[in-house]
Amino acid sequence: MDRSLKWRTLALLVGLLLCAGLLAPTWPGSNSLPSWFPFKKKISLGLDLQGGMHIVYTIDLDKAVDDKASELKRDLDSRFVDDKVDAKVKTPSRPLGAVTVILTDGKKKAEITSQIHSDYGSIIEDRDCAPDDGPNAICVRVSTSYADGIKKSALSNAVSTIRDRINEKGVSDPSVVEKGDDIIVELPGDPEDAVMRETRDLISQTSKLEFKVVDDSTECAALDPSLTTTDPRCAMFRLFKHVGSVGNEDKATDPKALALGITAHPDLWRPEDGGTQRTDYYLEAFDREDTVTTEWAAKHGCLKKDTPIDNGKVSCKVTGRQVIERYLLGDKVDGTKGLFDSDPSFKFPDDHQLGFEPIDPDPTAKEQHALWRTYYLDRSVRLTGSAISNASASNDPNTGRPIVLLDFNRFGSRLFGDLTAQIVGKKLANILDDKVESAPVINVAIRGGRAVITMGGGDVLRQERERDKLVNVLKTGSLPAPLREQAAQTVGPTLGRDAIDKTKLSFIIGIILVVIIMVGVYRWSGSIAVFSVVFHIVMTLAVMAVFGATLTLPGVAAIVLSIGMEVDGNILIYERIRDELLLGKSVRGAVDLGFSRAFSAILDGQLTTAVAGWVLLQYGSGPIKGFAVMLLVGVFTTLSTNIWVTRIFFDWYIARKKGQLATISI
Amino acid sequence: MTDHHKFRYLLPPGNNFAFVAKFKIWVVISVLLMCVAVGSLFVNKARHGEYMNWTIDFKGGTEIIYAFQSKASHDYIKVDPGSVRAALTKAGEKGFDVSEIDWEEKDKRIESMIVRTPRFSALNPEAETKALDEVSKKFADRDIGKATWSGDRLFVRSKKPIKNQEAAPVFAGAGLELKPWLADDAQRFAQPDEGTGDYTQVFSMWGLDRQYQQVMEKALDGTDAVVVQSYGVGAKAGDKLRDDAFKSIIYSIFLIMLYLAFRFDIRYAPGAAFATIHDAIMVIGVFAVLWQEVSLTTVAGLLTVMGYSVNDTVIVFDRIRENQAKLKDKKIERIIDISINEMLVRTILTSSTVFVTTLIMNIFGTGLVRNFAFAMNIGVIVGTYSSIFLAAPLFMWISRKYYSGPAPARRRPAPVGLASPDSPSPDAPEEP
Repeated sequence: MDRSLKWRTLALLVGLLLCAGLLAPTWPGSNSLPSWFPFKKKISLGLDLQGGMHIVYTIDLDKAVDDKASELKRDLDSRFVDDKVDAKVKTPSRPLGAVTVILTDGKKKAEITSQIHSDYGSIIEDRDCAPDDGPNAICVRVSTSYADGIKKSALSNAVSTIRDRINEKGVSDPSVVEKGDDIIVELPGDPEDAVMRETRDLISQTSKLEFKVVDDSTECAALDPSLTTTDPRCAMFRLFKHVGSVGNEDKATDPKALALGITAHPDLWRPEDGGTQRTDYYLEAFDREDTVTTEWAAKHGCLKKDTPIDNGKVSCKVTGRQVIERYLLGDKVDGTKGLFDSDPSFKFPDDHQLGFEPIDPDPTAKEQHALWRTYYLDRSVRLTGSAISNASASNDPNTGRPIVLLDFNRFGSRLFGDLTAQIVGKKLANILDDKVESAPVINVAIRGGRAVITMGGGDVLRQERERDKLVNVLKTGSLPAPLREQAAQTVGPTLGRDAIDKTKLSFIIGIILVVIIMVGVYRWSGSIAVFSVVFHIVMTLAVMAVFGATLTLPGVAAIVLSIGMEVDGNILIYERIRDELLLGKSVRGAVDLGFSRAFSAILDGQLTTAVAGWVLLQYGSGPIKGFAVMLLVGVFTTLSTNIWVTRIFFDWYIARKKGQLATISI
Repeated sequence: MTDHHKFRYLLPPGNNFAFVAKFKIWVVISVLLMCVAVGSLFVNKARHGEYMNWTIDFKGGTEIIYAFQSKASHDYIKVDPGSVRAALTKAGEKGFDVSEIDWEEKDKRIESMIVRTPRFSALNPEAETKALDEVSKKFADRDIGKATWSGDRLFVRSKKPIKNQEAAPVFAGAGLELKPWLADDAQRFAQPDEGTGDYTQVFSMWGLDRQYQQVMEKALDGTDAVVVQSYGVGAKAGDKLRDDAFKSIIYSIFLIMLYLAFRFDIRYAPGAAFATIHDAIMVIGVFAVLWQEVSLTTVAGLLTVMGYSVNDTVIVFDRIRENQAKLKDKKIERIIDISINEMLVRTILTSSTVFVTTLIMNIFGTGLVRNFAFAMNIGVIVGTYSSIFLAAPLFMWISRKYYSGPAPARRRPAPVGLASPDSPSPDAPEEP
């Protein structure tokens, strides 16, 4: 054996090992892989193979525009009352988003028209009046550019919202993809299951944006220490004392909290206009794997057919939020007693509640678990998303820090002005779908219908990401959720199982027939081709595992097809070698020429297939996409097995029979 | 050139069929067949009202599979599709289609029925509006903030809660049947939203599957109809899919042409384009004549056929290009014949392996897989035919017509990443 062959053989073995490693997590019963194992991703089965729901949502833009028109009407109505203008505002149903103002006094028309235009700017555009509107009518409509803006932010916001909502419900392996103007959601599992139904309801529900005041513990700090154990303003301070934090072991630390990874921290800031330093205490916990009862797991959707049950308990992912909630409030599902039950002195007053904010893990941190922190909130809703007319991303002209510009509608700006005047120095939490999105400090009373939210510390990139998220939330949070189901598909897993069996069968028979043909015609070389087919399949699956791809029935069909193409490559090479041998070449020369001359034909054939696959990937949806992905993977693996793997086997074959070889079994 | 190699020949070496001599006949036959294929589309339009047997992927609608159990023994039983059809017709359904489908569960064959209907939801716009009106009228005292339909579910936001039992008769008035709430649902909907104090209720209607189920159970005495699977596509989504599918076909033809013009030269492109379009039309024609279902998967199959056809053509072209450089003194007809003859064994072998694997998929596969495999079966046959009898001769015709004299041998791009042949033999192609 020459040196290069040795190295190539070694590389082949390493490649095989790598493939085996990549496929290990997919192998049944691989739950017990050690944690150091480098490969985690596995091939998941498509809905057609395991059952579930496939739902296509679209953004109902018409509804959003219509609602915007109604909001304009409300706003104008309140403005005309304030300004004592005698006018009637109508929202005719056609054209979409139309608003008509009919003035009693025609003299003010020009003045009011320009006022409306300067106030609403790009949100509205002029339109022609209907004949019966009269001469004193001002006719505008929600502008198309604004509608496009809504659509764009609504789409990207909807995708992340849907993802959040599904994750909250704990449906496993969901897929949420944006495609054109549609959002495609795939949920594996039993469609009639309670968790699935709830998830489906939740997805189409309106996002709800609320503003609540964060009640910090500054006033508690001013109290006489003897009062802190009972005063309602010190609820968080007491929790802070009780829970303690890691690195502060000299303070009282609740062992139960410590075991759950819950820590308490103070948050300190000073308002920009000076004044006293403010203090807020909060709890923090990471998402974690925990053993929970099967009831709890079933309720939160992490109990699946193949989940190993140990003594009535299973291992589940528990979010940091759930960890803290269970610790404080207990859990009715499995009868866990919380701190508030065992010691009522910690209980919050009725007019307060705990809010939770998910914090993205620090990208440099070793542990990439999501972190949740609490806010102690005044329960009353001070403002909702309907108060906001527009939000946009910007940067502070002086400091360059990312900011969010908010436009309130007339009604909202008054409320917001009053609210911010009351709470200067405090934090105002904006809560979307029961989750705190951000809680900026209010530095001054904000009047005039415009507000700026300056993003908090941290690095600029992260601030920008948070800002864009907030803008999306604010923009669409003020809209009624315009998500509408376009198509819904439920796939029963029984039919899937039947389909799997049949596809498996045809797969096996197909391969056997290929073996018969190849070995029948090319004898020994034919069996080399068979081995390279096996390698081809292993490699295809390994590539799928790298991307954590989903295997669907059409995907299996594509694998079968790519086997045909892979065999074609071998046939091309073998025919070429035969030709060269017949021309009187030596065996080694014929093999060399066979491989090099067949190459261009193989490459052209595979690349044209790749072109078709790529187009399918762009336009196909659902089943076609699965097919296209496999076709492309097949092109890659076919090229490498044809050119490289088969060659190694031929070189072995020749090297084994040293010296003058008259012919080979081909 | 003694044969001491003992190859197992599929064909004795030295085969020398004249392929291109009568190419005009083949082209005429092919064009005629293509006309028949296109004509059959119009025949279908006249006979069935549609050019092809579009599935709900493209038309929009719902597809539901029912299995039937005897009420007494709970065993699966076979039901006559005629009686299902009669039951649905009696219930006033239009445009539906009932066919048999069977599958295996735990070694038991279950014979079931697949019902396809152009309807997407159990609701029609009139029923939706009517139900909406009824709900807002009946529950005016609850101060309804907003009520919107999404699919077969109505989302209602109100200041005071509405119970499922109260709502059911209201929906029944509009001809709709309300799904009962699960215990969890009832609890969830009975709690006001913390912030706004509003109650949000979701009223789900029974879908088409249930509606049909009841119709069938009423008609088939002593039988339970079980929904195995249901699949719905909105009409708008269907239109979009059809557009996407059409676009993907056009784009792939164009891109493949571009590739050929780049890798070979422009003379090769029309032949390959004609062959590819021929194959696509023939597959479409067979689907049209046999009134076979055309689904998204069929389009995937069609595109694979086109990819395969080009692949097959390219491999023949590759040999022609090589032989052109090698046999400069020969006429182009001869070169093409030699090339096709040289590649004949490979063409037969490859076509038969692909054909055999897809045939097996056709025989044993279900639904999607079978539909795809059928397209491939036809595609392999027409694809192989077209690359030999259409693509190569067309290339010859263009070469003769527009490039008289010996065709300039285009420089062959060097194969990448491969060892060069050991010794340049006299018949080796020109290396750049």
